[in-house]
Amino acid sequence: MSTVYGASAARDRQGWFFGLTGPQLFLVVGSAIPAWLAMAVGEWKALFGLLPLWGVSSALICIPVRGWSAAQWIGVLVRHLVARALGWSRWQSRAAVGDVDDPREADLPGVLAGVRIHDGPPFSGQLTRPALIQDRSARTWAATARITHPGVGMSDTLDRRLMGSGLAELVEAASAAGQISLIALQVRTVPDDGTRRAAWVRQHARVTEPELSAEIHHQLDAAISGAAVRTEAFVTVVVREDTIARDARRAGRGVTGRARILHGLLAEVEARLVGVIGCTEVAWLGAADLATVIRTGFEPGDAAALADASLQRDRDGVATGVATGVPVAAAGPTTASTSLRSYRHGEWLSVSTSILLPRNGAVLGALARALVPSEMGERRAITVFYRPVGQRSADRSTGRAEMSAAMAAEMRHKVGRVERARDRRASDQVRETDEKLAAGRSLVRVSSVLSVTVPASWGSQDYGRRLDATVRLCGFSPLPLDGAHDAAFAAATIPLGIGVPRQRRDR
Amino acid sequence: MPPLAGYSMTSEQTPVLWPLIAGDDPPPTGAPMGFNTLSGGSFYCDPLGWVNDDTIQVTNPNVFVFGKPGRGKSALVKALMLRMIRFGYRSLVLGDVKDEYEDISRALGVTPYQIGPGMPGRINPLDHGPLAQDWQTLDRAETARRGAVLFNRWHALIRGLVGSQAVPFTPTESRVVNRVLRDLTGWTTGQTVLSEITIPTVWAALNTPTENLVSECRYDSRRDFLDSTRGLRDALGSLCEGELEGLFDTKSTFEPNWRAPIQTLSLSALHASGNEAAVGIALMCLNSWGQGMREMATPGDQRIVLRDEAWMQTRLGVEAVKTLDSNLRLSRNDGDIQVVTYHKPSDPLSAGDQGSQAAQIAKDLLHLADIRILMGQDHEVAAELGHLLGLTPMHRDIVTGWAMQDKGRALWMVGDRRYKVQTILTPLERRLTYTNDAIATPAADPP
Repeated sequence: MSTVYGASAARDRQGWFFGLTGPQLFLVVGSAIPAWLAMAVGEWKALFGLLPLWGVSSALICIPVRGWSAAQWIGVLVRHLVARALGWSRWQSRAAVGDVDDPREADLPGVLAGVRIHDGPPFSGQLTRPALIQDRSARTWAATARITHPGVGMSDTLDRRLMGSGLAELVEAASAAGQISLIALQVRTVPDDGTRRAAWVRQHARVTEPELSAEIHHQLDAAISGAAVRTEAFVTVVVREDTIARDARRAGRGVTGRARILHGLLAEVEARLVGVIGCTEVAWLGAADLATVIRTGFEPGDAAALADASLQRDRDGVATGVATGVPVAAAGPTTASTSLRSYRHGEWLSVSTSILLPRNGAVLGALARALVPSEMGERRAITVFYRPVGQRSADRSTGRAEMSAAMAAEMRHKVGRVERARDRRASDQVRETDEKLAAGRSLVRVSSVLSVTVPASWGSQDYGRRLDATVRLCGFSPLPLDGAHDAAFAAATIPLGIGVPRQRRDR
Repeated sequence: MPPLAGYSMTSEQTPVLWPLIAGDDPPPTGAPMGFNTLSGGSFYCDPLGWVNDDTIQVTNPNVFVFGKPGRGKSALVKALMLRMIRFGYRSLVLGDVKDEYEDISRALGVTPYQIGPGMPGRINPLDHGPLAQDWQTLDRAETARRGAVLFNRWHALIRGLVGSQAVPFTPTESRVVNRVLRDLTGWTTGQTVLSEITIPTVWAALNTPTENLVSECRYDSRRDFLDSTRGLRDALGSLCEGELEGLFDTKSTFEPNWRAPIQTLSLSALHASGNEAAVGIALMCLNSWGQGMREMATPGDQRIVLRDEAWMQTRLGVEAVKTLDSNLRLSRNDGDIQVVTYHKPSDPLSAGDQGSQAAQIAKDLLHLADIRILMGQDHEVAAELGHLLGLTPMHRDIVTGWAMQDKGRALWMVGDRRYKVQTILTPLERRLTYTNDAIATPAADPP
């Protein structure tokens, strides 16, 4: 019997007053002021006119449409119009105008603008030098690894359960250590460009091949090439500067000091990934590899040429002078522009969506179909962000939730309202969470974003709809991220651990 | 910032958004076989490449193919052979029982070699093969090495042939056979050229033992020797009479062209006679002969050696199973890809009664291949599959459900990895594998 996960998950942004957030409550109360004034001065006729208006404005403020309320949508629209009028929604790389001062300095659009990529010191016992990703705006440091995992398609229930428990252990360990602020798992399903295959065939094919064999391979190439996809997976570990600053000073200051602190955490994460989670390989990316990953994120079409150059280097050695990657400064797109319903980066368009969990939870691997491209040449990417919550903070928030549940139950009892099954379930969930925390589990904030990238000439909206449709087929609900496709794309497709909003209460 | 749908949950609930769904496929080396239906990636088969790749848990290039008749088993093997030609692999079909490989052989311009009652073709299972080449110029160490290989192979074959007729092959018989083999080849006397021997010459030497042989084997008298080797002599004698007469009892007339992309030894004429035991014995002889021919393969001379319908051989008993076992164990050293086809996993177990030594060895044989391809099977064999190959219920369902829905679908077990693969055949291969119409040069118009 497959285990169902996530049935007790609670939405992060729950309003504290009948489901309304603070600003919403403030606006609802504020919009009632004309009606109060009319009451105060005894203008009853005006009051009858103002009351429906207040109702309409409250509805606009409170009722969410595709994730945001109408009032928020108006705000988004205005912001976009202003951004477009002032040219803020367009971006051009410094490389495109020949203005690169330092090729090692990242030049990325939108939410990634604050990123710097540093060459880190060698990882202990290995030849790799994981790059350190510094986000100056969020004051975080991160490192990314390319991971290889056998997938869950051929795993039976027991194996899946084990892998699931491995992930749980990973976030529990991160939460207990208190230094990791975010773990992001990213998977990209990309069209197979056939570069590695072509290189292998070039090396191994015999010129004496009979005609029959040549004809068969010709027919095979026509049948198979271009139709296949492959997946690449990454994990990004993010730590906050304020958490590690003191230790880093002792460990050697600057990038090296941060790297030393980070390396310990990376080794811990790596051990857990190759343990129960079942990864067969975890390779921490150096600056050059990371630049290639970022570049292929923005420009999937460049993947073949970059892979070919890399194979050439591996075969001929570094001495041939073949340029094998992209400088960090040229890793981003040449141009990028944001519109309300899509994001254009170079010659590609992306549409992104967030995923709402089904009320009754889902089994591990339920998202399988959402990752399969609907057409040759399309790329899909998903990132799941796991933000471990410190134990003290988890205790506090669970205590608060229990208190509110108890108060709500009391209030219902006082006003004589019958307790419904939904109410009982909600308070049971709060109690269950508390029990689990007491038993050693930890609290995690989880969010995810899924994006589809197609060539700019294809018409991205249709592919956006297909993406939403497959999310629904998987049993989840899509929440299109209209108005924020640029940041959502960065979160879903660029493995830098950036693009998810940080909340004050995470600490 | 986007309003990402964020959730608070306890850690054990986090797998709800598990993104690592599609697994990684083997590297794109070797023959393209089709698609991995779970990952959507192209699936390539490269047994020797997998052995050399440390990231793949495959230690030998042996391939076992199981499949109910009609599920595309031979089409898959043919596709592998045809596609590997581009990369320098040649194929050797040791015993094409139903002439299934004749079509691709002819398409590649090679006439299959036929062995059967009334046919001119002969194979000497005790052929020296390339090991005896330039014997007189070899130094002492090399002749000792080659001699050991040669005598071991012959010894294993004779043990298999005798054992298949339910005649015990004890250390006494073993000593006698070893002595005879060494005497007949001239090894004992240090001859500069090894003499060619056949099964009838071995039989004759046992039938008319020399005084030397009798005393060397510690028999009291010639009579004593003849009495105690009666079973051995009769078992060998039966190979020179009856169904197998004139097939494996003289010098080989078949001289394979090792440069041709395929060599096929057809046994269809023998199979048509309906004597399964004779076919099994013939397969055993051919396997031994084929192994001899491959013992001195030069580096880079890579070959796919097919042992089709191996159940006919293993059914002969424990010694026959041991022979196949030794063939497979050597595959890694020879650089050959040994492909063995079976109908179902229990086929090898027919080597003996349940729990018998033969059944146990046959069961172990299944684990000699790190690459196992399971094509469609009926539900009846599902439990058997699970038991013998350690399949989980999910894998069992794939074999009995998904793989039965279309030809060419198979569960590939590559080391500890499992793949759900749909084989793709090109139109040309379809013609070569699903029909008997060879595409060889059309017959010339009558004058």
